[in-house]
Amino acid sequence: MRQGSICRTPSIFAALVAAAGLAAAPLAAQEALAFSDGELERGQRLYQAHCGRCHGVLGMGGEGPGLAVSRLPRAPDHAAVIDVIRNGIPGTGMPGLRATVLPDEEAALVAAHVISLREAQLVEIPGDPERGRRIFETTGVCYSCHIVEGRGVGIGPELTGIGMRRGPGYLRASLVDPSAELPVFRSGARSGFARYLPLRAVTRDGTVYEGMRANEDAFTVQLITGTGSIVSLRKADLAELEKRFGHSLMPATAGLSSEDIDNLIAYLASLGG
Amino acid sequence: MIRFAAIRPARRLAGPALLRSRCSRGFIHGLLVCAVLVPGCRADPEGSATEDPAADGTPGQTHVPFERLVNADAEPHNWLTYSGNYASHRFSQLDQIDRSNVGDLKVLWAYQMDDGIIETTPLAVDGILYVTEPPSTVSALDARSGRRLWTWSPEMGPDVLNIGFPRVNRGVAVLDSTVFVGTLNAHLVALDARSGAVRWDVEVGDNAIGFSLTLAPLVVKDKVIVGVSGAEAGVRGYLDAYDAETGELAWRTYTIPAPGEPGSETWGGNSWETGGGSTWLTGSYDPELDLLYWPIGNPAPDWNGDVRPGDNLYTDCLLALDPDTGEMIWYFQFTPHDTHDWDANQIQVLLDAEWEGEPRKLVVTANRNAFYYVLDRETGEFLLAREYSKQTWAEGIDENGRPIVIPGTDPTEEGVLVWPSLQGSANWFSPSYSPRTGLFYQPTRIMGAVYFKADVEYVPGQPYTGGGEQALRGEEASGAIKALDALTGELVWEFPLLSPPWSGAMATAGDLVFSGDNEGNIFALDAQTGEPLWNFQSGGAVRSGPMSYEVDGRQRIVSSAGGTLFVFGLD
Repeated sequence: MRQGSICRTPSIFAALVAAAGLAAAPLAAQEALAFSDGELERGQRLYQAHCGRCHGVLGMGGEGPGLAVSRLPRAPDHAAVIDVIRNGIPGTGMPGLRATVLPDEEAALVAAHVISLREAQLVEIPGDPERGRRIFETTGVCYSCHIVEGRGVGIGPELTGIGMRRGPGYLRASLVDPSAELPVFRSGARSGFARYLPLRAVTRDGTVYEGMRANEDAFTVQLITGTGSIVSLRKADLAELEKRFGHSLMPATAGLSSEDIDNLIAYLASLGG
Repeated sequence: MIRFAAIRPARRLAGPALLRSRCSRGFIHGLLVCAVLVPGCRADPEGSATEDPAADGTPGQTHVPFERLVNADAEPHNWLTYSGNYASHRFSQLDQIDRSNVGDLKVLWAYQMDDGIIETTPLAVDGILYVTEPPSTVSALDARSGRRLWTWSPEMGPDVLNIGFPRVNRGVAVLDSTVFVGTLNAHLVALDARSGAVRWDVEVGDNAIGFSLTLAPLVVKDKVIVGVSGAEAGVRGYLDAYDAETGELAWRTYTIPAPGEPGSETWGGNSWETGGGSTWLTGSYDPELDLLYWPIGNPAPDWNGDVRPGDNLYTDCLLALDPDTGEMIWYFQFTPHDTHDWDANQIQVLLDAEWEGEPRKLVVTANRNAFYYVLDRETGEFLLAREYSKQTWAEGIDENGRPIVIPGTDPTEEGVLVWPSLQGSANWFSPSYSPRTGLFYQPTRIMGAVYFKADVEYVPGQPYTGGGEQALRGEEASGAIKALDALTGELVWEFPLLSPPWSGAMATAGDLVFSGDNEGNIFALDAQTGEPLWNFQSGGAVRSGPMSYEVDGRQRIVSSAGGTLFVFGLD
């Protein structure tokens, strides 16, 4: 009960590292940044506690992008990684961590670990992005709810640049089982609230509204229906308001072959990369 | 069945004779100003201004002797001290706005401030509002129109430290014709109420090592009582009293005992030197008992208790003090050896009630640690505690008032999930107590956090916290306005909020409770049932100390949101 779900224990991490057949701390980064083995190990533990939830304990991504890649476009060097850790990335899910949560010395160690992940380049994406693009445009009818570079319909999340915001595992889960995990606001006043949360509202006169939550406060709720209409409701007028956690309006890609899904993931991962 | 005496004094009670005789015709702007600006004055048929014999104060001139502060309940059209009265009820006797008409409330005027977080409670004194603006500015506003009469800001560089809290100010105190403000750089400044000119300015603490003032001072008799922030920088906290006339330090009471002093045995080694124990929220005062009640903040470092073995008195305590000397009369510790940053700096509400058949003087508080407490305020005797919000750190509170701590809830390097979060179930934002309903209205934060412990070394002027937290947010946290039976802490009703609130509450004799939420609503609930009756979407998060006053015979409701102070009325 006491153990927070965001905490991974070092033993799990060690097991994953062992399973992946990898050294925990690549030497090149270690030398370049002049951190000792002990410091890098500490950086790894801190990374896993503070960052692992979104970026994956191995840096292979999750809700956030993989960091075990050859190039981090927003954080090319150690100082830039520290800057991102401190200040976050506005407009994305990356929050800034204050010094009270992660002191300067520890932020430097975490950044050193992130740089070391680059050497590992763990993130492998099977599939053909070009084929994936064609599926996206045709069989998948994805444009009917998503916008990529200005094209499409803005009901679900915009996917321009999604490859820089999400890891391949997360993209796969979103395609195969969209209701498993909804995107969450990671910064700003609504931090921690689910996005695209399906709602079912019934007014006192019996009218039923279904859609996704656009916003909510103690007195009102705004939802967007499956056809893209905005509905504004006062809670005082509602007989029922069901928040359907564990559901998504995104259809599962049950009709696609696993190869097609690999291709779709490769395409999505290429967006913004 | 415990009964409360219904306190409903007639509105517009005549003040003491000496006050009524003070109306000066020589007021700087003369008769015209008196006629158009000042409530309590009216133009007579011959065209000359006439003193309203029913007015409590001196029209157009702020003059608030101590007696008026003691009898603040007799002036419901004013708001003379931070929490409305010395008992810290934050209850307005005004009843013009009530359940039948609150739905018609509208914004009458707004006052926009510069960037920053507004946490002020304005004072209303005979037609003038004294408000503070972030970080440490004081402005006097025409209570009718919102037009500014004067403003004053301290000279502070951008390097002023605020370690452990935002750059805010919660309000001023007033005595006679002087307004007192604490500043972020830890000065206490006395301003002429008419012009904003500085009468005196004293340094309460050294900002370079983390001392700061964000609270509204409290005037008691001829002294200005002021507490300090700074526990997150490892200060040794104290409470000060200054002579209101001269600014001379009258007494200083340290909240962390030095070796040899009572309580020093609760600190290992030299940890007392950097033990924290800030005094950063306004206390309460009982004029009959002549006792000052002041809540004390967390020990330092916050999350690493290893370096300070012991109960760490008098952190997380309520102190009862002699206001003339600062001598401690009794103490009660809510959270011994705190490792979660659960300051006791919540408003201490004084009420008199029957307790087990006998009349008793009580002090009640909803503590940051998620328990509601009832103490005897003459003796400090623990009478009752009850969990009022989700918590996972204590099995309960024992018969002596000491928590029965669940093992394994201290912060660790890997992190431990505990409710409530470090901001607690309650915090600085005020509760309200209505003598009409007997209910204690507590904006409540329902939020857990993963607490981390870290090694820590004291460096003057640097954070000295030894860890931190990662709070659960969004859907995993929530809030509520909870109405508790003031004598038992039992929940009577609650109004759910989407997220853990930062706004105080104010109940009124119109049987309304006003408060606000992070989503931008300023709202009114039925004080008896919690039913929502009115809300205004301000567009900015509400972190307000709501209050009420009357001008031109009309009740006003004040709350702030975002960067704006809003004044509401029926017309």
